[in-house]
Amino acid sequence: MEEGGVNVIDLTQSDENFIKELMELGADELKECIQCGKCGATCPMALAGLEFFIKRIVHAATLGLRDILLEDSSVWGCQSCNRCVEVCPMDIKPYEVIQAVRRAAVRVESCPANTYEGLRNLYRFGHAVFPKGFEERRKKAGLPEKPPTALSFEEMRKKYQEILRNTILEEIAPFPLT
Amino acid sequence: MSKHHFKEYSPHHPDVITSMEFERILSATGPTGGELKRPSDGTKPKTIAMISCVGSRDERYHRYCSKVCCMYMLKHARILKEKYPDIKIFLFFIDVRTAGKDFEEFYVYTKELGAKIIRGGRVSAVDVKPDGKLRVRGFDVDLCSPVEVSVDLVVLATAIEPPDGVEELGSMFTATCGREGFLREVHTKLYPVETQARGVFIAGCVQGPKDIPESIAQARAAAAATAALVIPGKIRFEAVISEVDRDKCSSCGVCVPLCPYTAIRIVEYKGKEKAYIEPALCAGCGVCASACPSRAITFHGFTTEQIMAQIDALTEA
Repeated sequence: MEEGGVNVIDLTQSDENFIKELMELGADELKECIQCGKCGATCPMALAGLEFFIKRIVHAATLGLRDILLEDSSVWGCQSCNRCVEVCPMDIKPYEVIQAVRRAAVRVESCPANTYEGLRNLYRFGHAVFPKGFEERRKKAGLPEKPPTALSFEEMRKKYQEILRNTILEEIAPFPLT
Repeated sequence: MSKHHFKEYSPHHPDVITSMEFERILSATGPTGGELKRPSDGTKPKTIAMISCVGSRDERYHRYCSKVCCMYMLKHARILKEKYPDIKIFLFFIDVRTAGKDFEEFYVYTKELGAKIIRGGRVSAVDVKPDGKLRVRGFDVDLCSPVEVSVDLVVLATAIEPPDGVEELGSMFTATCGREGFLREVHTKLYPVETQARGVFIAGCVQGPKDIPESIAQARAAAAATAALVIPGKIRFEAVISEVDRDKCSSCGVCVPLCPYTAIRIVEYKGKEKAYIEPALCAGCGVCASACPSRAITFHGFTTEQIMAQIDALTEA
């Protein structure tokens, strides 16, 4: 990534420590990947046209390309369908690589903004995806304003938040847990 | 092959070497006593790039795959990673050809040791940077991006070539060379060690690029085929071969250079020089019989009388 913006990936930045970190974070079979591409052939994100999909993420991980992986938001697009894990012939569990990259990204706060938004929503309301103005739309459809989930049960939500406060969320959340 | 054919890989630089030279550097009996030192300044390289298919699978040099390079590149990477785990090794392959029992396992094991495999990546250029490092430019099909890497040492896996003089060697016993310059077997599947010259067998890289187990298997096959000829003490030869009627032979010698199997010699017969066909060598092609101006050569099974009778039968109707 130098020389007048020519889009060349410089492998000199390949970082063994990043590979080690990912392996510690759950991608322990990472190095066995032979890039057969079976995961890419089944990944819904690849089918949807995402350029940096599972096969390439795993390869970038085996090369230890930290910046590329952490700067790109592709890992957050994973739908956690686990098809890749089921088809992988080398049993490297590609989804675990995605998870490991996500964990590494959280450590250095290198996640897309909507990730934190989702995390905050999850903590506050029990829903990661929380579209604005839902009350209105529910009313129009003749439904109660709040769905019968954590949203409607204040006490349960408090308990749930208490449980979350005892997790790693306490350390990593970039918002106050109150 | 020598590195000097490949101008795009900066062959003038002392730290661009062939795998053969690298093998010597790794060898305990080599010039460095087995210590990893790069040729230019004797320091230990921290980053190494290895490039496959240099001169192989290339219309400008050799169209064939040299077959053993993928494996020995992985072997070198494995030796290095086991000895010096901190070294970074980038292996540039077009694709990794590790076919066969245990070979794929070797590949996966080398990957696990941390060797970086770049596929779809025959390197386009190796440049010398102002700081003296070597910049390798390639393409990574798995990243779907051009890549480059700065390294201390570049190892070229150059093609296996037939040695000089194979053609002359073959012509000494009428074995022929194929298009690529290796000695040719009679049949790829059925007669893999036999040559056109009966009694001459081939084994090893003179027949084509191959690895040690294959060479040994072929050598043993050649030895067995030789023994099968020698042990009975006598040779059974074909019925359909040519024979000289030496009383008719005019000693013109036309047949001698024509025989593809060098089965014809001029030998003394009744005080005169006459042609003689060695029955053990004759393959029954009939070239000599049709060329003989004195009709002194009989091709058994296709004698002049038999052929004339055939012509008569055809023209009668």
